[in-house]
Amino acid sequence: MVSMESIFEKNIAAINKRNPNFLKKIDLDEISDDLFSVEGKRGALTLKARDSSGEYYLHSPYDPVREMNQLIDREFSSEEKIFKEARFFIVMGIGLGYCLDALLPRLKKGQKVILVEPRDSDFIFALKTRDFSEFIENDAISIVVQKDPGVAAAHVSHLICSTIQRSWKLLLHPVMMRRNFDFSKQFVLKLRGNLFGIMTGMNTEIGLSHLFASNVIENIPDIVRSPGVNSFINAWRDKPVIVIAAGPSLDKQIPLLKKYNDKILMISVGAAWRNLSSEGVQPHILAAVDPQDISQTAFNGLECKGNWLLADTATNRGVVGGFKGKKIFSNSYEKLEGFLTHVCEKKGVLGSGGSVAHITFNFALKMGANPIIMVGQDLAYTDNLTHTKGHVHRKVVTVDDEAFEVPGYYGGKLKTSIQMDTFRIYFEDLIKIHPESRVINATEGGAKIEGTEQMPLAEVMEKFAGDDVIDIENLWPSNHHFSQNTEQAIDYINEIIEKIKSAKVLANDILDSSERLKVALDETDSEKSSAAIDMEKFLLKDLYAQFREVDESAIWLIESFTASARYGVLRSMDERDDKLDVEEGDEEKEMDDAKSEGIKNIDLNSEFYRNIATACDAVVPALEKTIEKINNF
Amino acid sequence: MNDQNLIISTSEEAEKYLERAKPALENLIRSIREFKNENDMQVLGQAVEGFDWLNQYAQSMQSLIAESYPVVAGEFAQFEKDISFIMSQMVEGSSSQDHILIADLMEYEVIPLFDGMKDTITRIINEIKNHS
Repeated sequence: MVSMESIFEKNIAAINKRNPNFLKKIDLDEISDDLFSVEGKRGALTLKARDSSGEYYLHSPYDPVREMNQLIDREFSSEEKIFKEARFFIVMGIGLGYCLDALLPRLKKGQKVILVEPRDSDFIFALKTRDFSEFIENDAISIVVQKDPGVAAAHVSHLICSTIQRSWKLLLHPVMMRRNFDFSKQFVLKLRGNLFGIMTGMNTEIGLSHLFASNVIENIPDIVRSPGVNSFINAWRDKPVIVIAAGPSLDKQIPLLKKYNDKILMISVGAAWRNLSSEGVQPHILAAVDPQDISQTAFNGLECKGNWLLADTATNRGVVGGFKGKKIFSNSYEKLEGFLTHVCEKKGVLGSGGSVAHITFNFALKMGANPIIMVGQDLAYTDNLTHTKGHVHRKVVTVDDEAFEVPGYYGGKLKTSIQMDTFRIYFEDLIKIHPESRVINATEGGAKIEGTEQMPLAEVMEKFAGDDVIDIENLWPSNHHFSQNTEQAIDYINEIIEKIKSAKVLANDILDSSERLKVALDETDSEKSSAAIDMEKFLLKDLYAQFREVDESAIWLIESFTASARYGVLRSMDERDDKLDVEEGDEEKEMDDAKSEGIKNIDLNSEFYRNIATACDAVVPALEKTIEKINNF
Repeated sequence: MNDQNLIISTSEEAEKYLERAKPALENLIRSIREFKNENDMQVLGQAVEGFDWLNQYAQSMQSLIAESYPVVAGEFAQFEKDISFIMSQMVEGSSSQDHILIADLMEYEVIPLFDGMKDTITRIINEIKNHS
């Protein structure tokens, strides 16, 4: 019989061979006192665990192999299409690995398994009990041992998403759910949230990046003349702020908001302004981040009555340009901040978390507000409604399959969407990392937000509304010098225009050189073509190197106008990888195709640089127009 | 109704119960393995009541046929012993909510035991009918 020590050593050696750093983060001395192996009634080793309800089996005491085969068979037959198309199977809990025994023989080429184990002790126990070396050495299996569900979900989403998001299927045995209940619940929510975030982020980048860049360029005249959120750091320290979102529960809170409108600082999402305004409530600050034209509908026809606008530098130009009050700007990410630093002072970054409500919340945090009071933050379909009155997207929902239930504000369960739930999770994370701020949820409806204190709005107003009228003009930074910013902006934009023009010349040179390389590859005289190919490859290499040296901000602008093209190139490469997976082993065919493969690669690159050249043609006039606007402001 | 008629009618009832019980148990096993229904444990309770009735039937049969059919009476005695043991293990599994153990006991112990019991019952019915 093989000793426990030698099994363990074999497993450890296999892990170290595959990834020498893997075990550094695992506590090898952690011992499970609630997990033990027992010999099954038919000889196979099985596993028992203990919790407050008593001892229970994690695998069948009779035939664990058959048990897992039956389970996987059932799953495969009940969801045949999903299993056929899934690229990743996520297995929760290592146990004694019987799930892997059952799953691996059923995998098709290209399908992979991600094993997630939240307990170091269970992982070590498994390594000491059974020879896992074959699994560990198998490239189709990735192992994540991580007790923090958020970190584990981040790892797994990183594995699932390369350039495109692949389909996946979670295999969570109910008994593993029992053993790791809190982890499993959080992990699934976070994973779903992450993948949704990645997908929407990618879609946003692909679909809207040129809109982002266009808005930033067109907003520059306003940006240089307005302060950034950094000018408001701790400006409202330890004073209460109400952050208003556009959930359906907002409607019932409007009378109280109206009564205390002047006695407590109110920051609202722009989408709620129409409803608030029609009822006589004027939030002191309105927030808008959406780069798309549809966001204008929340502002169209409404008159600024001393309100300020909190905008992202990429907020829709129509909203920013059409707003007649004072403006405060923030950036949604560091790279944008880096670009604008050349144009004006640092405005500051506010993490969006996917919704404008997160911007209002983050701004309140930046101002040092305490407590932060949420109103209209339903994050669920309260009374089957999506939004407050007057919202452009307000509708009654017929809850579809995608909707799922979350704990409600008043207990019980409420239907919500993946998107809203992702927003809720982000809020909960934000609250967790800002323990210094007391967060009160006075929505009186919608989903329960963990980490918040629930309090009726009437009580909130009684406790926190001041006696004096709020004068937000005192908040305005006195040290903002826009004239200096204006000159700096014009100089920098001129500089960028020249850099973009140079980039276009380079892109065209790459295209010409690529064309010559293609001709050389097609040449039938091998001696002649070989020399030409080497020469062109050398020239191309130099041109690529020159292109990599193009100014970072110029590249950011150009890339913003070519995101969909870049995505197309990456996707083609990804799909080609998929195809290679399927045809793996057919080496002879691959050799024959090498030449056409080379030409395909050149075509892909050429497509990319053609888009670069086109983008340069679009960016330069936009920047020139901006200079004209700054001069005429 | 004489003893023989009583034995035959009760045994036919037990036979029918066992016929119906097998597919129902297989469904319950599947459901328990998948933790699909919250009321599986309630359904299991009803199934166990059925086991209990079979247990009492086996007990009665032992005394009723002990003299005429001692070998079959021995089979009933063994059934009684086996089902009692399985039921005690199932109670233990229920208290710790050990779904896997309960499903396994039903799949690997109860169903084969019921199959054997059904054969025994069919045999005793036929033998009594043939002798009368």
